[in-house]
Amino acid sequence: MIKQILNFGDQGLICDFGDEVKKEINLKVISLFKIINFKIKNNEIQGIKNCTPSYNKLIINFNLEVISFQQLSKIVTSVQEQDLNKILENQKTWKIPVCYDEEYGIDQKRISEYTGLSISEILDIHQKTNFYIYMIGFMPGFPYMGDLDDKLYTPRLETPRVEILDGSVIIAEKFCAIYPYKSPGGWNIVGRTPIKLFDQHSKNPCLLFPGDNVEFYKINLEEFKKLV
Amino acid sequence: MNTILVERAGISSSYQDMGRLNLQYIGIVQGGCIDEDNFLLCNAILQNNCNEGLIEFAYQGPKIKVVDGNCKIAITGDVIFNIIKSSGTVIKGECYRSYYLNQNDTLDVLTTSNSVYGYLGFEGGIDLQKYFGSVAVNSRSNLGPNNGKKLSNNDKIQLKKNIYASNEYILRRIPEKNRNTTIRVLEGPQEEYFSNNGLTTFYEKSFLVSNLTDRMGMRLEGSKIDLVKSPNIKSEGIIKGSIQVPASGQPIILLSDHQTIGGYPKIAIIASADYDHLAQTLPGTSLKFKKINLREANISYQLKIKTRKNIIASLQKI
Repeated sequence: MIKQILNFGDQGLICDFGDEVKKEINLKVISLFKIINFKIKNNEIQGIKNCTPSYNKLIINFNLEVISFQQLSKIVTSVQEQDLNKILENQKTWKIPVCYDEEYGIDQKRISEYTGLSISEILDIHQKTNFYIYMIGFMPGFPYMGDLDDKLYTPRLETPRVEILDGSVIIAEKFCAIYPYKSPGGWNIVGRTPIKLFDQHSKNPCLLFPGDNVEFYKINLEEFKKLV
Repeated sequence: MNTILVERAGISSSYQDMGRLNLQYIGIVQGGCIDEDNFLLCNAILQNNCNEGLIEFAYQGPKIKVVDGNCKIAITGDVIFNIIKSSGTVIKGECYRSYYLNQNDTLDVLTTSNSVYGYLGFEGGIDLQKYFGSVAVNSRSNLGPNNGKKLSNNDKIQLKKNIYASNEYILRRIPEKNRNTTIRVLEGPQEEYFSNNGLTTFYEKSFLVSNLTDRMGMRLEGSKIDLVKSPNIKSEGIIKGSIQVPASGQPIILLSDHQTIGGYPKIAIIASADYDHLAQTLPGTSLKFKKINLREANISYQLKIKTRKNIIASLQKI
Protein backbone atom coordinates (compact mmCIF):
# COMPACT_ATOMS: atom_id res chain seq x y z
CA MET A 1 0.00 0.00 0.00
CA ILE A 2 1.00 3.65 -0.26
CA LYS A 3 3.66 4.29 2.40
CA GLN A 4 3.54 8.07 2.18
CA ILE A 5 2.19 10.95 0.13
CA LEU A 6 4.50 13.91 -0.41
CA ASN A 7 4.48 17.08 -2.41
CA PHE A 8 6.93 17.38 -5.29
CA GLY A 9 7.26 21.10 -5.80
CA ASP A 10 4.01 23.10 -5.90
CA GLN A 11 2.37 21.16 -8.75
CA GLY A 12 3.44 17.61 -7.98
CA LEU A 13 2.39 14.75 -5.70
CA ILE A 14 4.39 11.61 -4.95
CA CYS A 15 2.67 8.38 -3.92
CA ASP A 16 5.51 6.39 -2.43
CA PHE A 17 5.06 2.61 -2.20
CA GLY A 18 8.32 1.92 -0.34
CA ASP A 19 11.88 1.22 -1.42
CA GLU A 20 11.69 -2.20 -3.04
CA VAL A 21 11.81 -2.92 -6.76
CA LYS A 22 9.38 -5.82 -6.98
CA LYS A 23 6.72 -6.81 -9.45
CA GLU A 24 4.08 -7.11 -6.69
CA ILE A 25 4.69 -3.53 -5.60
CA ASN A 26 4.87 -2.17 -9.15
CA LEU A 27 1.52 -3.85 -9.95
CA LYS A 28 -0.06 -1.75 -7.18
CA VAL A 29 1.54 1.40 -8.59
CA ILE A 30 0.07 0.58 -12.00
CA SER A 31 -3.33 -0.21 -10.44
CA LEU A 32 -3.37 3.19 -8.79
CA PHE A 33 -2.28 4.77 -12.08
CA LYS A 34 -5.21 3.08 -13.86
CA ILE A 35 -7.67 4.15 -11.16
CA ILE A 36 -6.53 7.79 -11.38
CA ASN A 37 -6.56 7.67 -15.19
CA PHE A 38 -10.10 6.30 -15.11
CA LYS A 39 -11.14 9.20 -12.87
CA ILE A 40 -9.51 11.66 -15.29
CA LYS A 41 -11.34 10.16 -18.28
CA ASN A 42 -14.65 10.26 -16.39
CA ASN A 43 -14.08 13.86 -15.35
CA GLU A 44 -14.05 12.88 -11.69
CA ILE A 45 -10.73 14.72 -11.33
CA GLN A 46 -9.74 17.80 -13.26
CA GLY A 47 -6.43 19.53 -13.64
CA ILE A 48 -4.12 16.52 -13.95
CA LYS A 49 -1.29 17.15 -16.39
CA ASN A 50 0.47 13.83 -16.00
CA CYS A 51 0.54 10.70 -13.93
CA THR A 52 3.79 8.73 -14.19
CA PRO A 53 4.17 5.24 -12.74
CA SER A 54 7.68 3.97 -11.98
CA TYR A 55 9.06 1.00 -10.02
CA ASN A 56 7.78 2.07 -6.63
CA LYS A 57 6.17 5.49 -7.09
CA LEU A 58 3.31 7.19 -8.82
CA ILE A 59 4.13 10.83 -9.48
CA ILE A 60 1.24 13.12 -10.35
CA ASN A 61 1.77 16.52 -11.97
CA PHE A 62 -1.28 18.72 -11.44
CA ASN A 63 -2.38 22.18 -12.48
CA LEU A 64 -2.41 24.39 -9.42
CA GLU A 65 -4.94 26.70 -11.05
CA VAL A 66 -7.46 23.84 -11.00
CA ILE A 67 -6.64 21.56 -8.05
CA SER A 68 -4.56 21.81 -4.88
CA PHE A 69 -2.14 19.35 -3.33
CA GLN A 70 -4.56 18.88 -0.40
CA GLN A 71 -7.53 18.11 -2.68
CA LEU A 72 -5.52 15.64 -4.73
CA SER A 73 -4.10 13.94 -1.61
CA LYS A 74 -7.66 13.34 -0.39
CA ILE A 75 -8.60 11.66 -3.67
CA VAL A 76 -5.50 9.46 -3.61
CA THR A 77 -5.97 8.41 0.02
CA SER A 78 -9.62 7.53 -0.67
CA VAL A 79 -8.49 4.73 -3.01
CA GLN A 80 -8.99 1.46 -1.15
CA GLU A 81 -6.28 -1.13 -0.63
CA GLN A 82 -8.59 -3.80 -2.09
CA ASP A 83 -8.85 -1.84 -5.36
CA LEU A 84 -5.09 -1.82 -5.69
CA ASN A 85 -5.00 -5.58 -5.16
CA LYS A 86 -7.40 -6.35 -7.97
CA ILE A 87 -5.61 -8.26 -10.68
CA LEU A 88 -4.90 -6.00 -13.63
CA GLU A 89 -7.03 -6.60 -16.67
CA ASN A 90 -5.76 -6.50 -20.24
CA GLN A 91 -2.20 -7.37 -19.30
CA LYS A 92 -0.73 -8.69 -22.49
CA THR A 93 2.21 -10.95 -23.16
CA TRP A 94 4.12 -9.84 -26.24
CA LYS A 95 6.34 -12.22 -28.24
CA ILE A 96 9.06 -10.09 -29.74
CA PRO A 97 11.42 -11.38 -32.46
CA VAL A 98 15.11 -10.67 -31.99
CA CYS A 99 18.01 -11.14 -34.37
CA TYR A 100 20.91 -12.25 -32.17
CA ASP A 101 23.42 -12.36 -35.06
CA GLU A 102 26.89 -10.99 -34.38
CA GLU A 103 26.11 -8.02 -36.56
CA TYR A 104 23.62 -6.77 -33.97
CA GLY A 105 24.45 -8.61 -30.75
CA ILE A 106 27.72 -6.72 -30.37
CA ASP A 107 28.11 -7.11 -26.60
CA GLN A 108 27.47 -10.85 -26.34
CA LYS A 109 31.20 -11.53 -25.92
CA ARG A 110 31.47 -8.95 -23.17
CA ILE A 111 28.51 -10.52 -21.34
CA SER A 112 30.03 -13.96 -21.82
CA GLU A 113 33.38 -12.84 -20.38
CA TYR A 114 31.70 -11.15 -17.42
CA THR A 115 29.26 -13.95 -16.57
CA GLY A 116 31.38 -16.96 -17.55
CA LEU A 117 28.46 -18.34 -19.60
CA SER A 118 28.69 -19.34 -23.24
CA ILE A 119 26.91 -17.17 -25.78
CA SER A 120 24.36 -19.88 -26.50
CA GLU A 121 23.60 -20.21 -22.76
CA ILE A 122 23.14 -16.44 -22.56
CA LEU A 123 20.72 -16.35 -25.51
CA ASP A 124 18.88 -19.37 -24.14
CA ILE A 125 18.31 -17.71 -20.76
CA HIS A 126 17.30 -14.45 -22.45
CA GLN A 127 14.65 -16.24 -24.53
CA LYS A 128 13.32 -18.27 -21.62
CA THR A 129 12.77 -15.24 -19.40
CA ASN A 130 9.28 -13.84 -19.04
CA PHE A 131 10.00 -10.13 -18.70
CA TYR A 132 7.68 -7.76 -16.90
CA ILE A 133 7.41 -4.09 -17.94
CA TYR A 134 7.85 -1.99 -14.79
CA MET A 135 7.52 1.31 -16.61
CA ILE A 136 7.85 3.07 -19.93
CA GLY A 137 9.75 6.28 -20.24
CA PHE A 138 12.99 8.14 -20.56
CA MET A 139 12.05 8.42 -24.26
CA PRO A 140 8.73 7.56 -25.98
CA GLY A 141 8.06 3.81 -25.90
CA PHE A 142 11.21 2.76 -23.99
CA PRO A 143 10.29 -0.21 -21.72
CA TYR A 144 12.13 -0.88 -18.45
CA MET A 145 11.80 -4.65 -18.08
CA GLY A 146 12.79 -7.10 -15.38
CA ASP A 147 13.87 -9.26 -13.89
CA LEU A 148 16.85 -10.56 -15.76
CA ASP A 149 18.22 -13.89 -14.45
CA ASP A 150 20.98 -13.17 -11.89
CA LYS A 151 23.32 -15.31 -13.97
CA LEU A 152 23.25 -12.67 -16.72
CA TYR A 153 24.06 -9.80 -14.37
CA THR A 154 26.46 -7.51 -16.29
CA PRO A 155 27.23 -3.89 -15.41
CA ARG A 156 26.78 -1.02 -17.84
CA LEU A 157 29.64 -0.06 -20.15
CA GLU A 158 32.11 2.30 -18.53
CA THR A 159 31.92 4.64 -21.50
CA PRO A 160 28.49 4.86 -23.09
CA ARG A 161 28.29 4.50 -26.88
CA VAL A 162 27.52 7.61 -28.87
CA GLU A 163 24.93 5.83 -30.95
CA ILE A 164 22.89 2.68 -30.51
CA LEU A 165 20.64 1.49 -33.34
CA ASP A 166 16.88 1.69 -32.93
CA GLY A 167 15.41 -1.68 -32.00
CA SER A 168 18.54 -2.68 -30.05
CA VAL A 169 17.71 -5.12 -27.26
CA ILE A 170 19.88 -4.29 -24.29
CA ILE A 171 20.63 -5.58 -20.81
CA ALA A 172 22.28 -4.14 -17.73
CA GLU A 173 22.24 -5.27 -14.11
CA LYS A 174 18.82 -6.88 -13.52
CA PHE A 175 17.04 -5.14 -16.40
CA CYS A 176 16.37 -5.51 -20.09
CA ALA A 177 15.14 -2.79 -22.48
CA ILE A 178 14.67 -1.96 -26.14
CA TYR A 179 15.64 1.33 -27.78
CA PRO A 180 12.71 2.71 -29.83
CA TYR A 181 15.01 5.29 -31.42
CA LYS A 182 18.65 5.69 -32.26
CA SER A 183 20.24 6.97 -29.09
CA PRO A 184 23.43 7.17 -27.09
CA GLY A 185 23.55 4.53 -24.36
CA GLY A 186 25.66 2.48 -22.00
CA TRP A 187 23.78 -0.83 -21.77
CA ASN A 188 25.00 -4.13 -23.24
CA ILE A 189 23.50 -4.93 -26.63
CA VAL A 190 22.35 -8.56 -27.08
CA GLY A 191 20.45 -8.24 -30.37
CA ARG A 192 18.03 -6.18 -32.41
CA THR A 193 14.31 -6.38 -33.06
CA PRO A 194 12.68 -5.27 -36.32
CA ILE A 195 9.51 -4.34 -34.39
CA LYS A 196 8.77 -0.64 -34.16
CA LEU A 197 7.97 0.19 -30.54
CA PHE A 198 6.81 3.73 -31.13
CA ASP A 199 5.33 5.50 -34.17
CA GLN A 200 3.49 8.78 -33.82
CA HIS A 201 1.70 8.19 -37.15
CA SER A 202 0.23 4.86 -36.04
CA LYS A 203 -3.24 4.40 -34.52
CA ASN A 204 -1.63 2.66 -31.56
CA PRO A 205 1.57 4.67 -31.32
CA CYS A 206 3.02 2.85 -28.34
CA LEU A 207 3.13 -0.93 -28.64
CA LEU A 208 3.87 -1.79 -25.02
CA PHE A 209 2.29 -0.67 -21.74
CA PRO A 210 3.44 -0.72 -18.15
CA GLY A 211 2.36 -4.01 -16.55
CA ASP A 212 2.57 -6.02 -19.82
CA ASN A 213 4.89 -9.00 -20.21
CA VAL A 214 7.45 -9.61 -22.94
CA GLU A 215 9.13 -12.77 -24.25
CA PHE A 216 11.80 -12.82 -26.92
CA TYR A 217 12.32 -15.36 -29.71
CA LYS A 218 15.16 -15.76 -32.15
CA ILE A 219 15.00 -14.88 -35.84
CA ASN A 220 17.82 -14.95 -38.38
CA LEU A 221 19.23 -12.00 -40.31
CA GLU A 222 17.13 -12.73 -43.41
CA GLU A 223 13.92 -12.82 -41.41
CA PHE A 224 14.98 -9.63 -39.65
CA LYS A 225 15.46 -7.83 -42.95
CA LYS A 226 12.07 -9.01 -44.20
CA LEU A 227 10.33 -7.69 -41.09
CA VAL A 228 11.96 -4.24 -41.00
CA MET B 1 -3.41 30.62 -50.12
CA ASN B 2 -2.03 32.38 -47.06
CA THR B 3 1.48 31.18 -47.30
CA ILE B 4 4.42 32.47 -45.34
CA LEU B 5 7.93 31.67 -46.53
CA VAL B 6 10.66 31.08 -43.97
CA GLU B 7 13.64 32.92 -45.44
CA ARG B 8 15.73 32.29 -42.34
CA ALA B 9 14.61 29.88 -39.66
CA GLY B 10 16.60 31.32 -36.76
CA ILE B 11 18.58 29.44 -34.15
CA SER B 12 15.96 27.26 -32.53
CA SER B 13 12.51 28.04 -33.90
CA SER B 14 9.73 25.49 -33.51
CA TYR B 15 5.96 25.16 -33.40
CA GLN B 16 4.70 25.06 -29.82
CA ASP B 17 1.46 25.14 -27.89
CA MET B 18 0.70 24.08 -24.29
CA GLY B 19 1.87 20.53 -25.00
CA ARG B 20 0.51 17.01 -24.54
CA LEU B 21 -1.17 15.87 -21.37
CA ASN B 22 -1.34 12.51 -19.64
CA LEU B 23 1.07 10.63 -21.91
CA GLN B 24 4.14 10.63 -19.70
CA TYR B 25 3.40 6.97 -18.81
CA ILE B 26 4.44 5.98 -22.36
CA GLY B 27 7.44 8.28 -22.37
CA ILE B 28 5.87 11.37 -23.93
CA VAL B 29 6.63 14.56 -22.07
CA GLN B 30 4.15 17.45 -21.92
CA GLY B 31 6.66 19.74 -23.65
CA GLY B 32 5.14 22.80 -25.27
CA CYS B 33 6.04 26.45 -24.82
CA ILE B 34 8.84 27.18 -22.36
CA ASP B 35 7.50 30.58 -21.27
CA GLU B 36 3.80 30.13 -20.61
CA ASP B 37 3.13 33.81 -19.85
CA ASN B 38 4.53 35.06 -23.15
CA PHE B 39 2.87 32.23 -25.08
CA LEU B 40 -0.56 33.04 -23.61
CA LEU B 41 -0.11 36.79 -24.06
CA CYS B 42 0.73 36.31 -27.74
CA ASN B 43 -2.50 34.42 -28.37
CA ALA B 44 -4.46 36.91 -26.26
CA ILE B 45 -3.26 39.86 -28.39
CA LEU B 46 -4.34 38.01 -31.54
CA GLN B 47 -7.64 36.99 -29.89
CA ASN B 48 -6.83 33.39 -30.69
CA ASN B 49 -7.84 30.31 -28.77
CA CYS B 50 -5.45 30.40 -25.78
CA ASN B 51 -3.79 27.11 -26.85
CA GLU B 52 -3.32 28.04 -30.53
CA GLY B 53 0.04 26.85 -31.90
CA LEU B 54 2.66 29.47 -32.62
CA ILE B 55 6.38 29.79 -33.28
CA GLU B 56 8.76 29.82 -30.36
CA PHE B 57 12.26 31.04 -31.11
CA ALA B 58 15.46 31.33 -29.11
CA TYR B 59 17.99 34.16 -29.45
CA GLN B 60 17.70 34.91 -33.16
CA GLY B 61 14.19 34.42 -34.55
CA PRO B 62 12.96 33.74 -38.06
CA LYS B 63 12.85 36.04 -41.06
CA ILE B 64 9.61 35.43 -42.90
CA LYS B 65 7.90 36.82 -45.97
CA VAL B 66 4.19 36.84 -46.68
CA VAL B 67 4.13 35.30 -50.14
CA ASP B 68 0.39 34.79 -50.47
CA GLY B 69 -2.51 36.51 -48.72
CA ASN B 70 -2.48 38.87 -45.73
CA CYS B 71 -2.04 38.17 -42.05
CA LYS B 72 -1.86 39.69 -38.62
CA ILE B 73 1.05 38.86 -36.32
CA ALA B 74 2.18 39.58 -32.78
CA ILE B 75 5.48 39.06 -31.00
CA THR B 76 5.90 38.64 -27.26
CA GLY B 77 8.97 38.48 -25.06
CA ASP B 78 11.83 40.93 -25.04
CA VAL B 79 12.49 40.94 -28.77
CA ILE B 80 14.01 43.26 -31.37
CA PHE B 81 12.39 42.98 -34.79
CA ASN B 82 11.69 44.90 -37.98
CA ILE B 83 8.81 44.87 -40.40
CA ILE B 84 9.92 45.60 -43.95
CA LYS B 85 6.93 46.70 -46.01
CA SER B 86 6.84 45.73 -49.69
CA SER B 87 7.46 49.41 -50.46
CA GLY B 88 10.82 49.13 -48.67
CA THR B 89 9.75 51.12 -45.60
CA VAL B 90 11.21 49.64 -42.42
CA ILE B 91 9.13 49.75 -39.25
CA LYS B 92 10.88 49.09 -35.95
CA GLY B 93 8.70 46.51 -34.24
CA GLU B 94 7.19 46.72 -30.76
CA CYS B 95 6.39 43.62 -28.72
CA TYR B 96 2.96 43.06 -27.18
CA ARG B 97 0.93 44.49 -30.08
CA SER B 98 -0.40 43.14 -33.36
CA TYR B 99 0.63 44.21 -36.86
CA TYR B 100 -1.23 43.74 -40.10
CA LEU B 101 1.03 42.37 -42.86
CA ASN B 102 0.24 42.50 -46.56
CA GLN B 103 1.46 40.23 -49.29
CA ASN B 104 5.21 40.69 -49.89
CA ASP B 105 5.84 42.27 -46.49
CA THR B 106 8.76 40.79 -44.52
CA LEU B 107 9.17 40.28 -40.81
CA ASP B 108 12.71 39.99 -39.50
CA VAL B 109 13.03 38.82 -35.91
CA LEU B 110 16.57 39.96 -35.17
CA THR B 111 17.24 38.91 -31.60
CA THR B 112 15.90 38.46 -28.12
CA SER B 113 17.29 40.92 -25.63
CA ASN B 114 18.36 39.91 -22.10
CA SER B 115 16.31 36.74 -22.54
CA VAL B 116 16.27 33.50 -24.48
CA TYR B 117 12.77 32.85 -25.85
CA GLY B 118 10.24 34.86 -27.83
CA TYR B 119 6.93 34.01 -29.50
CA LEU B 120 5.55 34.80 -32.94
CA GLY B 121 1.85 34.20 -33.45
CA PHE B 122 -0.59 34.62 -36.34
CA GLU B 123 -4.22 35.64 -35.97
CA GLY B 124 -6.42 32.61 -36.63
CA GLY B 125 -3.48 30.26 -36.18
CA ILE B 126 -1.13 28.11 -38.24
CA ASP B 127 -2.52 25.15 -40.15
CA LEU B 128 -0.72 22.25 -38.43
CA GLN B 129 -1.47 18.59 -37.88
CA LYS B 130 -1.92 17.74 -34.22
CA TYR B 131 -0.22 14.71 -32.73
CA PHE B 132 -1.70 13.46 -29.46
CA GLY B 133 -3.81 16.60 -29.32
CA SER B 134 -0.93 19.04 -29.68
CA VAL B 135 1.21 20.76 -32.30
CA ALA B 136 4.20 21.07 -29.96
CA VAL B 137 7.40 19.91 -31.62
CA ASN B 138 9.78 17.80 -29.57
CA SER B 139 12.81 17.62 -31.84
CA ARG B 140 14.68 15.16 -29.62
CA SER B 141 11.96 12.52 -30.06
CA ASN B 142 10.84 13.76 -33.50
CA LEU B 143 7.35 14.28 -32.14
CA GLY B 144 4.78 16.64 -33.58
CA PRO B 145 4.12 18.30 -36.95
CA ASN B 146 6.87 19.24 -39.44
CA ASN B 147 8.17 15.65 -38.92
CA GLY B 148 8.91 16.60 -35.35
CA LYS B 149 11.63 18.99 -36.45
CA LYS B 150 12.52 22.59 -35.80
CA LEU B 151 11.80 25.16 -38.50
CA SER B 152 14.27 25.20 -41.43
CA ASN B 153 15.09 27.73 -44.11
CA ASN B 154 12.62 27.69 -47.02
CA ASP B 155 9.87 25.97 -44.99
CA LYS B 156 6.40 27.19 -45.85
CA ILE B 157 3.93 28.08 -43.14
CA GLN B 158 0.25 27.77 -44.06
CA LEU B 159 -2.19 29.87 -42.09
CA LYS B 160 -5.68 28.73 -41.21
CA LYS B 161 -7.34 31.84 -42.60
CA ASN B 162 -6.81 35.01 -44.55
CA ILE B 163 -7.05 38.18 -42.48
CA TYR B 164 -8.65 41.27 -43.93
CA ALA B 165 -7.41 44.70 -42.92
CA SER B 166 -8.79 45.38 -39.46
CA ASN B 167 -7.80 46.94 -36.15
CA GLU B 168 -4.48 46.22 -34.56
CA TYR B 169 -4.38 45.62 -30.80
CA ILE B 170 -1.94 46.46 -28.04
CA LEU B 171 -1.46 45.47 -24.40
CA ARG B 172 -1.45 48.74 -22.47
CA ARG B 173 0.19 46.91 -19.58
CA ILE B 174 3.12 44.63 -20.32
CA PRO B 175 5.05 42.19 -18.11
CA GLU B 176 7.63 43.83 -15.88
CA LYS B 177 11.23 43.10 -16.72
CA ASN B 178 12.44 40.69 -14.11
CA ARG B 179 16.15 40.99 -13.36
CA ASN B 180 16.00 38.96 -10.18
CA THR B 181 18.81 36.39 -10.03
CA THR B 182 17.49 34.66 -6.91
CA ILE B 183 15.24 31.79 -7.94
CA ARG B 184 12.69 30.38 -5.51
CA VAL B 185 12.67 26.61 -5.08
CA LEU B 186 10.93 23.97 -2.96
CA GLU B 187 12.67 21.14 -1.17
CA GLY B 188 13.42 18.21 -3.48
CA PRO B 189 12.22 14.65 -2.81
CA GLN B 190 15.79 13.33 -2.30
CA GLU B 191 17.27 15.94 0.04
CA GLU B 192 18.62 13.13 2.26
CA TYR B 193 21.02 12.13 -0.55
CA PHE B 194 23.01 15.32 0.11
CA SER B 195 25.35 16.13 2.98
CA ASN B 196 24.75 19.24 5.09
CA ASN B 197 27.69 20.76 3.26
CA GLY B 198 26.09 19.88 -0.07
CA LEU B 199 22.83 21.58 0.91
CA THR B 200 24.68 24.63 2.21
CA THR B 201 26.61 24.86 -1.06
CA PHE B 202 23.38 24.69 -3.04
CA TYR B 203 21.56 27.37 -1.04
CA GLU B 204 24.43 29.74 -0.32
CA LYS B 205 26.72 29.68 -3.36
CA SER B 206 26.02 31.09 -6.81
CA PHE B 207 25.74 28.93 -9.92
CA LEU B 208 26.46 29.93 -13.47
CA VAL B 209 24.03 29.06 -16.28
CA SER B 210 26.21 27.18 -18.77
CA ASN B 211 26.07 27.14 -22.57
CA LEU B 212 24.85 23.54 -22.38
CA THR B 213 21.28 24.70 -22.03
CA ASP B 214 18.35 23.94 -24.32
CA ARG B 215 14.62 23.12 -24.18
CA MET B 216 15.47 19.89 -22.37
CA GLY B 217 17.59 21.18 -19.54
CA MET B 218 19.78 23.86 -18.08
CA ARG B 219 23.22 22.82 -16.87
CA LEU B 220 24.70 24.89 -14.07
CA GLU B 221 28.33 25.29 -13.08
CA GLY B 222 29.61 26.09 -9.62
CA SER B 223 30.98 24.59 -6.42
CA LYS B 224 30.55 20.82 -6.30
CA ILE B 225 27.43 19.75 -4.39
CA ASP B 226 28.40 16.96 -2.04
CA LEU B 227 26.30 13.79 -2.06
CA VAL B 228 26.27 11.39 0.90
CA LYS B 229 24.51 8.47 -0.70
CA SER B 230 25.00 6.78 -4.05
CA PRO B 231 24.28 9.27 -6.83
CA ASN B 232 21.62 6.98 -8.30
CA ILE B 233 18.03 6.56 -7.16
CA LYS B 234 15.41 4.16 -8.43
CA SER B 235 14.30 5.87 -11.62
CA GLU B 236 11.08 7.80 -11.16
CA GLY B 237 8.82 10.30 -12.94
CA ILE B 238 10.16 13.79 -13.57
CA ILE B 239 8.32 17.10 -13.30
CA LYS B 240 9.67 20.15 -15.12
CA GLY B 241 11.80 22.38 -12.95
CA SER B 242 13.34 19.42 -11.08
CA ILE B 243 16.94 20.09 -10.11
CA GLN B 244 18.93 16.87 -10.29
CA VAL B 245 22.50 16.43 -9.19
CA PRO B 246 24.56 13.66 -10.83
CA ALA B 247 27.87 12.38 -9.45
CA SER B 248 29.74 15.38 -10.88
CA GLY B 249 27.97 17.53 -8.25
CA GLN B 250 26.95 20.06 -10.91
CA PRO B 251 23.17 20.59 -10.95
CA ILE B 252 20.96 20.20 -14.02
CA ILE B 253 17.54 21.87 -14.08
CA LEU B 254 15.11 19.87 -16.20
CA LEU B 255 13.12 22.11 -18.53
CA SER B 256 9.96 21.58 -20.61
CA ASP B 257 11.29 18.83 -22.97
CA HIS B 258 12.80 16.84 -20.09
CA GLN B 259 13.10 13.07 -20.17
CA THR B 260 10.03 11.49 -18.53
CA ILE B 261 11.90 9.30 -16.05
CA GLY B 262 15.18 10.00 -14.32
CA GLY B 263 17.53 8.31 -11.90
CA TYR B 264 19.50 11.14 -10.29
CA PRO B 265 18.62 12.55 -6.88
CA LYS B 266 16.71 15.83 -6.94
CA ILE B 267 17.90 18.44 -4.46
CA ALA B 268 15.08 20.91 -5.19
CA ILE B 269 12.43 21.92 -7.70
CA ILE B 270 11.78 25.39 -9.12
CA ALA B 271 8.70 27.16 -7.72
CA SER B 272 6.16 27.39 -10.57
CA ALA B 273 6.01 31.17 -10.16
CA ASP B 274 9.69 31.42 -11.15
CA TYR B 275 9.87 28.78 -13.91
CA ASP B 276 9.29 31.08 -16.93
CA HIS B 277 11.76 33.60 -15.58
CA LEU B 278 14.38 30.93 -14.91
CA ALA B 279 14.01 29.41 -18.39
CA GLN B 280 14.53 32.86 -19.91
CA THR B 281 17.86 33.32 -18.10
CA LEU B 282 20.83 33.70 -20.43
CA PRO B 283 23.90 31.46 -20.24
CA GLY B 284 26.62 33.22 -18.26
CA THR B 285 24.15 34.53 -15.67
CA SER B 286 24.92 33.83 -12.04
CA LEU B 287 21.96 32.45 -10.06
CA LYS B 288 21.20 31.77 -6.40
CA PHE B 289 18.48 29.56 -4.97
CA LYS B 290 16.15 30.37 -2.10
CA LYS B 291 13.98 27.76 -0.42
CA ILE B 292 10.31 28.56 0.15
CA ASN B 293 7.52 26.36 1.52
CA LEU B 294 4.45 25.03 -0.26
CA ARG B 295 2.19 27.77 1.10
CA GLU B 296 4.53 30.54 -0.08
CA ALA B 297 4.85 28.83 -3.47
CA ASN B 298 1.07 28.64 -3.86
CA ILE B 299 0.66 32.32 -3.00
CA SER B 300 3.40 33.38 -5.42
CA TYR B 301 1.87 31.30 -8.20
CA GLN B 302 -1.62 32.76 -7.63
CA LEU B 303 -0.04 36.20 -7.86
CA LYS B 304 1.63 35.31 -11.16
CA ILE B 305 -1.70 34.11 -12.62
CA LYS B 306 -3.48 37.23 -11.37
CA THR B 307 -0.82 39.49 -12.90
CA ARG B 308 -1.15 37.71 -16.24
CA LYS B 309 -4.94 38.12 -16.16
CA ASN B 310 -4.57 41.84 -15.45
CA ILE B 311 -2.17 42.21 -18.37
CA ILE B 312 -4.58 40.41 -20.71
CA ALA B 313 -7.40 42.66 -19.50
CA SER B 314 -5.40 45.70 -20.66
CA LEU B 315 -5.76 44.73 -24.35
CA GLN B 316 -7.02 47.65 -26.45
CA LYS B 317 -7.56 48.60 -30.07
CA ILE B 318 -4.82 50.87 -31.36
